[in-house]
Amino acid sequence: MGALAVLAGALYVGARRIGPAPALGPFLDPAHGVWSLARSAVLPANASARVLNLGDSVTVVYDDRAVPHIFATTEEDAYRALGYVVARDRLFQLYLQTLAGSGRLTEIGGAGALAMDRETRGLGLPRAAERKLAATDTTAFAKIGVAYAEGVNAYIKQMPASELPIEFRLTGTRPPEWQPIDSYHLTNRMGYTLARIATETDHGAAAARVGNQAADALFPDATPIQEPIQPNGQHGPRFDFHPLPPPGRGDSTALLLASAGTAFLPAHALARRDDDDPPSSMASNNWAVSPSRSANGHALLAGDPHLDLSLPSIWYEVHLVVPGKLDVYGVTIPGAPGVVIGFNRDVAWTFTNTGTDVLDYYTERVDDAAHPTKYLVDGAWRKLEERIETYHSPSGQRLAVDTMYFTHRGPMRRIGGHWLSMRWTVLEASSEAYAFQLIAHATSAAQVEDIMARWYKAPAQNMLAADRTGHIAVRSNARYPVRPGDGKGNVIRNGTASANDWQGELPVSQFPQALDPAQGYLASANQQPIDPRVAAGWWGGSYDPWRALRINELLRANSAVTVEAMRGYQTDPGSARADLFVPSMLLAAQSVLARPGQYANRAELADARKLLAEWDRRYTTDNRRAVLFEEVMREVVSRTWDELLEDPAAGSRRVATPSTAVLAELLSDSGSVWWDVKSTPQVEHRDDILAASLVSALRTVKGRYGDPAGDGWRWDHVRFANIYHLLRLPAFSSLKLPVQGGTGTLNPSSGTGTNGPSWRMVVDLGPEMKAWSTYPGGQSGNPVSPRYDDRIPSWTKGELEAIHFPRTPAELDASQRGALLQLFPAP
Amino acid sequence: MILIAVVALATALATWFGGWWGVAVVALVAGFLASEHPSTPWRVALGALLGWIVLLVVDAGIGPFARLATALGGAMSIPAPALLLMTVLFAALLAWSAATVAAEIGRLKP
Repeated sequence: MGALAVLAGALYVGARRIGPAPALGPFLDPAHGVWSLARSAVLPANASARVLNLGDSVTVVYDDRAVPHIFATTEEDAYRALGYVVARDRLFQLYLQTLAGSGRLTEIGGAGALAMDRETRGLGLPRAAERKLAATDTTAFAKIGVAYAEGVNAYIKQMPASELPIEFRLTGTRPPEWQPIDSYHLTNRMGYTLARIATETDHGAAAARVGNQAADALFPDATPIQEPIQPNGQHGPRFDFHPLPPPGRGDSTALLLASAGTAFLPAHALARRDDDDPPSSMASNNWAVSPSRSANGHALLAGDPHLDLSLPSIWYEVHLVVPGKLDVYGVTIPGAPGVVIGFNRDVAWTFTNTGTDVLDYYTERVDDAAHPTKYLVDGAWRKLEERIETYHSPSGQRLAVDTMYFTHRGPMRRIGGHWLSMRWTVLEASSEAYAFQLIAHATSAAQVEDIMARWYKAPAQNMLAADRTGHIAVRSNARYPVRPGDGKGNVIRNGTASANDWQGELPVSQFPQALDPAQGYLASANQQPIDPRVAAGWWGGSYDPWRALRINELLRANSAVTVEAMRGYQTDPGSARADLFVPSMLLAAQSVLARPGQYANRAELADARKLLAEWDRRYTTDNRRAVLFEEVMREVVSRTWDELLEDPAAGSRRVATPSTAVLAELLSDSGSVWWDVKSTPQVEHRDDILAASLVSALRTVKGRYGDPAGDGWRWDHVRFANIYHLLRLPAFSSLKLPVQGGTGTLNPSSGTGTNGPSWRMVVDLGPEMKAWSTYPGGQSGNPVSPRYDDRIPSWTKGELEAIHFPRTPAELDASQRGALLQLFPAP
Repeated sequence: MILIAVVALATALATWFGGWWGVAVVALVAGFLASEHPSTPWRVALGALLGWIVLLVVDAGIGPFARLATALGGAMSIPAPALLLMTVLFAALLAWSAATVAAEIGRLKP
């Protein structure tokens, strides 16, 4: 009887999940279970598979960096094979990204993921994917998208049990069939990540506390430091510093604006509140030099998009060859049927994010405030689209049901007694993946820009290209709405009048752009793309000038740029932000120390000043002073913007934080009332705040890291890169990696260490294309594979690896070859 | 000794070509056929344990097994050796209980 009970128990735990624990039988099975992953950690030297609808056989040669070189006879077959190899290396990532993009994370994460899914569906992202797919089902992309899906599904169907990724085993899930719509979920997810820029949120929150005039100055349409992407002929940055108007009476009506952002984008709004600068996830760099400014007389191009770091990486390196038709190398995002950043035999391209605000809100009048069915436009009622969204648990149980409403503008929701709708370019019809397929064929930098201007709509990107004939070009390509009236995008418009709708799209001629500028180089680093003095239209958004200042400084100073210099710039430890703030801090300390009378913290201030003066303003890993500067900056921000605290008495969080560019602007006005700390009886000025910040920062840093001469102050003991596994499992993550760089440097390092350069590439556009790259991860998604994280060492050191770019399989010599995969048509 | 070897081989093959439930099937058959020996369940359990050890050795011989064990243990917050022990004990427990039940049934034979 006892044995029978044990048998029943063993069979039960063998077959069924209990809580988070997987079913033990299939999990522990050494032939097919988790232990068998050891057998699939390395790709077999020779493998073959049959793929449905493959026109002809395809040869895939993996090189010594585990990059698959796909040799096919048609483009459709090449993309079919791309789907296959991506699934082979990154199957769980494909699955998880689809869940995230379609708002179905609860199906793997349970109720804990409900808030994220509600945000995704509440924004209408899955609905937009459906509409985009329906709108493109007759284009050439549809064929490629279907071919890609067939490749993914061919792998899933033939996958040996031993290759089922470990994450599926731990979560008790199985990979579903890949659908072409999943590619749209992915591109929508990129839009969500990069284009959720609603300037109205911060502006509204600030206006509610300090009035509209002050909010206009704290969150300006034009950043006060101008070093635009489209060269403005000034040969240097321009500092448009003006005194900030004093805080005024709060405008309670602006609260609706702030609430709109929080309601539609709750996760994003929460993250923004404590940031001193625009979110680092939106940071990226790219630059190119003309032959006239390169040492070898070729155009050179560099790019490093900064995104959330993850294992496996967001990028997958690949080479597609169809003789006479296609020969493109670069990185794809698993799920995207195309090479996103890369090069072919003639031209190279890379992107940074354009932080322009392309998201607007409208107040709507509805027929029934509790259960609306219609909304009013130009005096006539229009029917609301209703959509029921159901969320399921991993076991299939219904977790929640939401009713979503949509106007012709986009999703609509009730906020503070008002019904607000939202319009966002990410939700509009577009063909980003098709654009990537087309630029793979581009033959010139200008052609890259023209293809993208026509087909690429969101998220807005500063697209830099260089070609072998020596041309360099940049254009901030996207759909930019033309708004009525003053054209501003940081206000709520009245939805009852169609005259308040977007009036069309900005013509390409008005996009920020440049082709072969006289200065001989182009650079973008998420700065405001066009000088507001020459721009037609409104270019408000979220911009960061510091990296742009630094890369422009470096490029101006070097008229014979080399590939090695380009590589070095990508991890340059210099900081334009420190160059601007440190002198002011030192002068302020000197000024306070020179005042007559006894300054209470004189010794500490002198000590802090001395230590900061010792800093070379570089964020090298062994630097022992950067930590002090960062703490001083945190103190300055905290003390200066006390007017923006949610509850000043409680010292709670700020409702919004102006950028450090605005703080720099404030530095030029030593007597501004913004320096005064409202909670103290005395009136503080700039130097008081800077001095007090120095003293306080020194105390904090000493308390936290010990003696200034000790190793505790080393930058690599303070700031790290943290590359988490997609499920944030520490055992599969790579944490506390020392990196050279800090806030606002070209190789930025955020406080959490979870954002950073997700791909680095340098291309030499000589007679033969040469390129070098790395990324923080590896080609395999299998945590046990030696290819899972093999590139992290080169990434942390700022090194690049030479890329193989063969025309035929035979051009890869034996030492450069890895595994071979042959794909054959299924009978 | 022969029973242990046969069960080990049969368990390895059944698991390889079938799945984890092959352990129970082999144990049921072995337990039933050798039901007259009181020690059969323990010997079957040992055979199943050895069968899975053989399969684990095959895994270890082909790929980075130590790295897998460490990563897996870390992901599940269990020391890697404990996870390995759990694996083979699961097979042994399953086999022992199945063989015991089968032996009881076998002893009911007229």
